[in-house]
Amino acid sequence: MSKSKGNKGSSEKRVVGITGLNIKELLLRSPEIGTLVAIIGLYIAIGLVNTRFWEPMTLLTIARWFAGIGTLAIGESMVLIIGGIDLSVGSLASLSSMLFAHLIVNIGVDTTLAFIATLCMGVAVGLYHGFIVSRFSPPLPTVVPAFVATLGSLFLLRGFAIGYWRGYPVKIHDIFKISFLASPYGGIVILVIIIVLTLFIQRYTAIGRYLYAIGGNLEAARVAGIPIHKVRVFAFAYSGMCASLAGMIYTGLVASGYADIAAGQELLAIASNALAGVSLAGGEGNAINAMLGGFLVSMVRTGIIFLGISAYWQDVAAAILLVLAVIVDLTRRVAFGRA
Amino acid sequence: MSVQKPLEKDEYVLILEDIWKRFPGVVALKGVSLSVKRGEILGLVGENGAGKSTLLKIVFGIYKPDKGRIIWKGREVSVENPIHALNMGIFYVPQELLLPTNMSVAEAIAIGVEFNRSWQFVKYRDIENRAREILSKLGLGDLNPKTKIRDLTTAEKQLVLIARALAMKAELLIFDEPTSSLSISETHKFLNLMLELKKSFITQIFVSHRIEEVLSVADRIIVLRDGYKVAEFDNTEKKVTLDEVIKAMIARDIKEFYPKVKVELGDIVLEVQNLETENLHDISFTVRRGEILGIFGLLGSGIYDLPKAIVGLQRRIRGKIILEGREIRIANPTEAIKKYGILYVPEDRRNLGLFSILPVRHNVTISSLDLLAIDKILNTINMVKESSMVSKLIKALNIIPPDPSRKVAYLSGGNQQKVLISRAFSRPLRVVLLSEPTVGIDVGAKVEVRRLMVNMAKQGFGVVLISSDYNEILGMSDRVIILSKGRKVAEFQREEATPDLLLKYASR
Repeated sequence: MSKSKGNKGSSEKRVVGITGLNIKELLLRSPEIGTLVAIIGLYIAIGLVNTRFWEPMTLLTIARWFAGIGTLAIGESMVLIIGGIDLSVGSLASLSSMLFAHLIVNIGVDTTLAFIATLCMGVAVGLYHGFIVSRFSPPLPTVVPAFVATLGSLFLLRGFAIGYWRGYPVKIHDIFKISFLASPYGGIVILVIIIVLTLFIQRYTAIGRYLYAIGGNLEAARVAGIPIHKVRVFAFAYSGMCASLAGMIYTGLVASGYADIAAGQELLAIASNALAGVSLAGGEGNAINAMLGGFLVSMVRTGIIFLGISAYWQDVAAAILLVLAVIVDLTRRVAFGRA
Repeated sequence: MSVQKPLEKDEYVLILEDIWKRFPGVVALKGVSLSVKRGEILGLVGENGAGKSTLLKIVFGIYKPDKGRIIWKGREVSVENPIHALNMGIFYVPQELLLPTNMSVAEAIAIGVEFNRSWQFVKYRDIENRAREILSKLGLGDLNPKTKIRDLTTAEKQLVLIARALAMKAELLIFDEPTSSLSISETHKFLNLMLELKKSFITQIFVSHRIEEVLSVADRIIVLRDGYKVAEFDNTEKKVTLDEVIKAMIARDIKEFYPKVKVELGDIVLEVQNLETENLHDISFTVRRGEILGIFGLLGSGIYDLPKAIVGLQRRIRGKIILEGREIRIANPTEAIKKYGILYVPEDRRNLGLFSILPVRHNVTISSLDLLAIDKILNTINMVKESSMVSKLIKALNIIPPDPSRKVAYLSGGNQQKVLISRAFSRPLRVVLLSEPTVGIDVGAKVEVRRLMVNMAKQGFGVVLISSDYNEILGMSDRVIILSKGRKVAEFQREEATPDLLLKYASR
């Protein structure tokens, strides 16, 4: 019997044997509720420290940045659901911001046309990612080529945005040209459209079902006759489209194209998803989760300023959120035997 | 290591008293008690969902019981986790053998024994010698301990695990479905090994769906049903009969294990000519409408490669596939299903078949969403039509619980298999390729699945039944083809086929 000593009080968690329904299980099962609770809790908590946080104007500020982050996160959710990852969305949004402003200001293109052209660029970049992923997996699981291809783009697109415009922003002096995007609600309208569209695709279309199936079990998806390549290309193209939309939302917000306006926001997009229940392992979550996560992240970013912390610390806050998000996601997966 | 307390031969090694285990939505064990004597082989049988796995996992410390006592060698214990169980001398050989594929046999045996002493250099010569010694005890003396695990057969991997158990001086071995992926001769060897281990007073708990095997080696058989222990048989004389055990397991009479019905045969629907792949050589056969064609072979015969090659999951080097008289080229399963109406239902339902984190509904209609679409652009699903289709299939196939939004992972094995097979009824098809449709599911579910097979034939599908269970092949097929080493070695009509013939040709 003495053999067993040293094993007593083992730290191994045993979330598997949950008896009955409790709060922990509820939070694990429906992460939307957990995220909502976190949002409300933080809203109250930050406001208690600085009551100006509760002013309606603050909410509008959060919402305007949220329009961009939320759109990024929702696009990212498509790729995460198939078990992939898109690290390029921040750089793609930045490049889109530049291209959009450049087309309007330097080339003199009509705003609608510039909007469509930028959107096409985003979709094209996404198609390229989808192509690489389809070409190189199998034998690799989706996430490996996705990581490599989009990591390449993270630097490529950003480098291009900085190199081509030599680091200078493109200022849109004639604000009326982008009156819709520059209006307080422009970005939010786009976000709402994207939420509805994405949710519709995820819930009610064949391609939506295929996304979850591929993320749930790639091999089984192949056997079940799902056109795997097409679906994966679609997911990356959709993410690219959302990223360029987000870039243009940011352009509207600051009336300029900036080459690093969304730099590093791929991590915010991923954190938003993982925090709110779009599993990094694929096959779970939807646009609502991504949106809630995006709102939480946006609120924290604005909130730290109201806590008297310098905006220069935003990256630290983002990093903490990302790690937290991964821990939340892992906990969920361990609890449901999907680690 | 502690000095072992001398044990009387008849002493109970393990006693479980009134074990209860509840999971969300289901009570898996309802006060089960059992005891195992030293050196005894205890057979544990029951349908899927009866609680066998849960019970084993409790003994091995993967789950903790909600209530009940575990008495190990006369002392009440609480098994904290698998490492604790291993240290106590309890060793669990799971159904899916988890071994690091990049390690050598010697290393794999040494894990948890030599390697467990931290901060010590690995003495390769020592562990290799030790491995050789143990392996020869297990009749594997000619296996080089330097061989990598990935180069071993399933049977050999199993022996490596058992070798590790012996190296760890395990006193209780738990086998969960150990023979489910072994060939007939390997199964034989395995059962003999169990009897050998018994001679050295190693206690064994043996869980299997193949009740005949349990009857042939177990000293005592315990039957679980719905979380209760419903029967216990003394089998020291090996006189317990299959009927007795099955009756206790299912509590309802099964009139026939093979509910074969004669169906009028139609024209030839599928013809394969001279099919050549990496593993298959010159295979030709035909299937008629309404026919069940059995394809029998042992492990390594290539029977599982055949349907994969047909639907385009494996590369075809040569050969023709003719559907209703017209030669076709199937590039991938998407084409096979949607263009030609050929559905492959894979043998490995967990890895190749089901989406276990998705609900039943998604799993049932995944291959027929094109037919449920309202528009051609987005392929919007007609949810009303889908719901009615899913609930109809759930009812027709008797999927329990009848809840379309339940995740497939939370269903029992038999019900999971029915979900997989339901796809064959979700769209019009010409040919269904069923690979091991009844493997790893309980007796009741087996009969249900076989009945579904007959329904497919009645609907005019050509059914190809690929199985390594000759009783099933004999019971269900109109015609049998036998493969051995990737070649077709014989073909028999239903009336001519016998178990002897099948085995004789298959082991050529």
